[in-house]
Amino acid sequence: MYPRGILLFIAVLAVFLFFNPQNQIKLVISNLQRGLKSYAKVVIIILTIGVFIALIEPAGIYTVLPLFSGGIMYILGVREVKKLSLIPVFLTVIVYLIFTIVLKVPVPMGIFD
Amino acid sequence: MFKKRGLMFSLVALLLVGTLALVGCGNGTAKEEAKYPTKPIEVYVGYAAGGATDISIRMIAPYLEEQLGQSVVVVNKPGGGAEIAFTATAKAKPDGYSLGIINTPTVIAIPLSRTTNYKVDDFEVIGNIAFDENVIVAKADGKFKTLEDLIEKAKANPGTITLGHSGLYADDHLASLAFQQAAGIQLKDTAFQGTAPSLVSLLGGHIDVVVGNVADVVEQVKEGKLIVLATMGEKEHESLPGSVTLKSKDFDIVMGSYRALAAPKGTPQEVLEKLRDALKIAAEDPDYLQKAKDTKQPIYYLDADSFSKVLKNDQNRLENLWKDLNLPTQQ
Amino acid sequence: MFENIFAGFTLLMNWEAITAILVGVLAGTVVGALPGLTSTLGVALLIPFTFGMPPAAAFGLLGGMYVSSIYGGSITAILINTPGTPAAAATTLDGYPMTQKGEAGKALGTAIISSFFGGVFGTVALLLIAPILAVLALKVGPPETFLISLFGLTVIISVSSKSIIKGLMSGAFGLLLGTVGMDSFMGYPRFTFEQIGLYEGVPLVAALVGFFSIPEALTLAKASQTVQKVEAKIGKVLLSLKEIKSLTPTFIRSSIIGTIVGIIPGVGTPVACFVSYNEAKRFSKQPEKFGTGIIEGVAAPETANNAVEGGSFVPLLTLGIPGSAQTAIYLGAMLIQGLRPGPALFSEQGPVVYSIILGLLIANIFMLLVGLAGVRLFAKVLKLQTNVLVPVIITFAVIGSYAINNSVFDVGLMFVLGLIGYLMRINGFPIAPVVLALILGPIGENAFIQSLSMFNNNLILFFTRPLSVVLIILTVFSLVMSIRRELRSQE
Repeated sequence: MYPRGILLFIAVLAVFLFFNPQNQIKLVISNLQRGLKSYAKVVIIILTIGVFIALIEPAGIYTVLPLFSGGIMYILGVREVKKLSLIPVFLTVIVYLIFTIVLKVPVPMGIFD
Repeated sequence: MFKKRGLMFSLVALLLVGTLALVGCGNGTAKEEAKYPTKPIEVYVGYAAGGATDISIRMIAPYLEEQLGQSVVVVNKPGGGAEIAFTATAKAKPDGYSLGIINTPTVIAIPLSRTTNYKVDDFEVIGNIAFDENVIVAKADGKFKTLEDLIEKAKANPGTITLGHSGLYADDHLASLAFQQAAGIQLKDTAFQGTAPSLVSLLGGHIDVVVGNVADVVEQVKEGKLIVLATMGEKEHESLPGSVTLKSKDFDIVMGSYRALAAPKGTPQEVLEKLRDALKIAAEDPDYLQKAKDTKQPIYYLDADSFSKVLKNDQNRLENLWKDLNLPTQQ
Repeated sequence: MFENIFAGFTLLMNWEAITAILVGVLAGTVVGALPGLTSTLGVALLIPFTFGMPPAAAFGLLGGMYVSSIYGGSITAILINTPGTPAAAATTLDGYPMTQKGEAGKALGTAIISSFFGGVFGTVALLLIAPILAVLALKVGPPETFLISLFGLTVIISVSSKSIIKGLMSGAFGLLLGTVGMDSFMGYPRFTFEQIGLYEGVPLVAALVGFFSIPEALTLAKASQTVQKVEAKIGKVLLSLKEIKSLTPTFIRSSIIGTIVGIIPGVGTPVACFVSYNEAKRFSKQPEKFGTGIIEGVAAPETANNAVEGGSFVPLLTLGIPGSAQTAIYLGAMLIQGLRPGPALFSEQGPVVYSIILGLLIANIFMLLVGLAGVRLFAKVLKLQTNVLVPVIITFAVIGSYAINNSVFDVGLMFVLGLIGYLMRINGFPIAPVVLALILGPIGENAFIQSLSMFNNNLILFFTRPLSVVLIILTVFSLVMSIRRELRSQE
C-alpha cells in the first residue's frame, strides 16, 4: 500500500512538472537539439561496461581489467600504444596492491581460483 | 598506419582468445582429495562482519588453520536473511574449499517460509561450534517480575503486550511464537533490525519484553538493568545464575541458535573426515576454550552425528510449528 | 574518573599503539576515499589484525580507520562528485561545485578542518558527558525515530536547489527504492523480481556508488568529446583565519547535530550531514549561495559526520549496545579482546575504555595532519586526463560495489542504478534526495510500524509523548520555513 502511495505521489508531481509550459518545452527542445548522435560514444561505453561486469566473475577481475581500461581509453580517443598498454597495466597493479595485498578484500578471481 | 592498427588488433584478439581458453579449462582432479587441503578454504557467513555468527567462526578459525595447515578465510555474504550465504554454500563446488556456517533455526525456517534454491538436505555437517540460547527479558523496574506475571497479564489483555525481536522468522521471533503457542497467550510481536535496537527500546521503556539471545543480554542482567523472565535452554544457564528455564516451568521448549560448519553435499568422504577431525581438535584446544570463557562466547561443540540429530529434530519441530500456526509458506 | 583517564592515556604512550593509530589513519583515508569501501568494511577488515595486539593498540588501529575513513569519503566527493562513503553524500552538494570553480584545494582544506573539529567535539562529548547522553539515547523510541526520519526527509526541499518539484520526485523515487525488499512486518516481498540479492532491500553502497560514480564517469566521457583536457586549478589550500572564524558557528552547530544523531541507534550518519547542511542554510545570511560552492556547504556535513563517531560510541560504551554498524564491529573486537561492553564497563575496566576514547582523539589529530599534508596529493587526481579518469572511476566503482557483499549481483545493480542516475542527471533531477530518501524511507517505515504496534494503532498517542510533540513542531516549522525560503529564492 505504501509503495502505491509513493507511485501516486510521483505521478501527481510529474503532472505538475509538465504543466509548467516553460519546463516542458525546454525539455523537448534540448533533447532534440543534442540529438542522439552525440550519445553514440556514451552508449558504446555503457555496453563495454556491461560486458566488463559480465566477465569479471568467470574470468576474474585481473584478467578483464587491463582489457577493459584499455578499451575505454581507446573509445575515448587514445591511440598511442604506449599509453594504451602501460596505463591499464599500471592501474591493474595498483588495484591488485590495494585490494588483494593490503586490504585483503575478496575479489572475483575467476580463472585463478 | 594500417600495419600498426593490425598489430594492435591481433594483440587484443590473442589476449581475448587466451582468456577465454583459460576460462574454459576444467580443473580439479581426484588425486587432490588425498592431499587436501592444498589452498585456502573459504567459509561463507550469512551475516555482516562483527556480528555474533561472524565472531563465532573467526574465534575458532586460527585453531582450524593450525590443524589444516591452510588459511581459513571468512567471507561475509549477508543478504536475504542469510539465504544468500546458505545458497552459496549449498551450491558450491563440493571439493572442500568452499564451506559455510549454517544457523538454526534460520536455515530451516527460510525454505519453510518461501521458495528457495537450497534445501536443508543440501548440506553435509562438519560440526557445530556455538549455541546461543534464547531468553525472554524485561526491564528491571518494569511491569513484569516473573514469567508467570507476564503470562497472567497477557491472558488478561491479549494482544497488547509488545514483544521485540530481531526480525521476521529469526530465531528470536520463532522462539517467541513457540512460547506464545505453548503458553496459550497472544503478544504483539514487533520486529526490529536486530537485537540491539530492540534492547535499546526495551531499556527506554518503549516496549514491554524482548526475546533475544543470552549473549546479547548477559551484561545488562549482571548490572541489574534487565531481568530474565525465562531462558530457553535445557538447564539453567551458567552465565545467568538463578534464572528459570521454560522447561522447568513445564513448557516443552528448547530454543536457541546453533551455528554449525557445513559443506555442500557431494563433498568426498576423505575431505569431510579431515575437516571433522580438525574441527574436533580445534574445538577442544585449551587456548580457544580459555578465550571463549573470558569473553563469555557461547561456544558449544557437537560432532557431525550429534548435530545432524539436532538438525533433524529442529526441522520436525519447525515444520509442526508452521502447520499449527498456519504460517505462510509461499512468499 | 580522572585517574582512569590518566591511566588510559598511559596505555597509549607506547610505539605500538601510536603506530597502530597512524596506520589506521592512513589506511582509513584510502578506504574512505575509494567509492564502495565504507568505514564499516574498513573496520571489519582490520579485525583480524587486532587479534594479537594489546587493547590500546588494537582499538587505536580501529579508531584510526573509523575516524579517517569518514573524512576520506569527502576527498572523492569533492574531486569527482562520488562520495567515497555514505557519510560524504552531502559533501558533494557544495564540494564538487567548488572543484568546478577551481577551488578544489579550499574545499579539501575545509573538509579536513571541519572533520577534525567535529571529531574532537564528538569525542570530548563522549569523554565528559557520556552518561547524560546515554539517558537521552534511551528516550528515543520508535515514534521519535519515525519523526526524525520525517524531519530528515523535509531536508530534501532545501537540497533541490533548482527545482523543488524535481527534487520531490527524486525523493519519491528514493522512497520507492527504499520499499524494495521484504517488508519487516509480514515478510511480503516488494519489487524483488525474484532476486535474493534484493530481499533485504537495495544495498545502500551499490546504490550510492552507482548513483554518483556512473553518471560522473559517463558525463566526463561525453564531455571529453569537446574538451580534451580539463584545466584543473587547485587553488589555495589553507583557509584564512577570517574564513575559519566565519565557520565557527557552523562548526559548533553541526557538531552538536552530529553528536546527537550519533547517540541515537539506527539513524545513520548521512542524516546528520543533510540535516546540518539544511540548518547551515537556514541560519545563513545568503542561503541561495548553497549549492554553488561555498565553504559552509562543505563544512556543515563534514563536521557533522565526524561528530557522529563520538556520539555513536555512547550506546556502545554505556549500554553495551552498538549504535551504528561500525560500533557493532567494535563490539566484536571488544569481545575478542576480552572486554565486556555493558553498563559496568566504565567502572570495571575504566583505563582501557578511556584508552579507546583517547585513542580516538589522537586519531583525529593524526587525521588532521595526514589530511593537511595530503591535500595537494589528492588534488593531483584532477590532473589526470579524462580518458584515464573515466576507466579509473568505473574500475573502482565496480570493485567497490563487489567488495561489500562479495556479490557480482551488487555490481550489476550498481550499474543499472547508475544508468538511471545518468538519465536523471541529464534531465536535471538532483541525485542527493534519492540517496537521502533511500536511507530514511526504510528507517521511517519500520519505526512507524513499531509505533503502531506500541500504540495499538491509535495514532493520537503520538501526541502524548513530549519528545514526539517537540519533533512534530520542529518538522512542521522546518518544512514551512524551507518552502518559503526556496520559493523566495526562485522568484
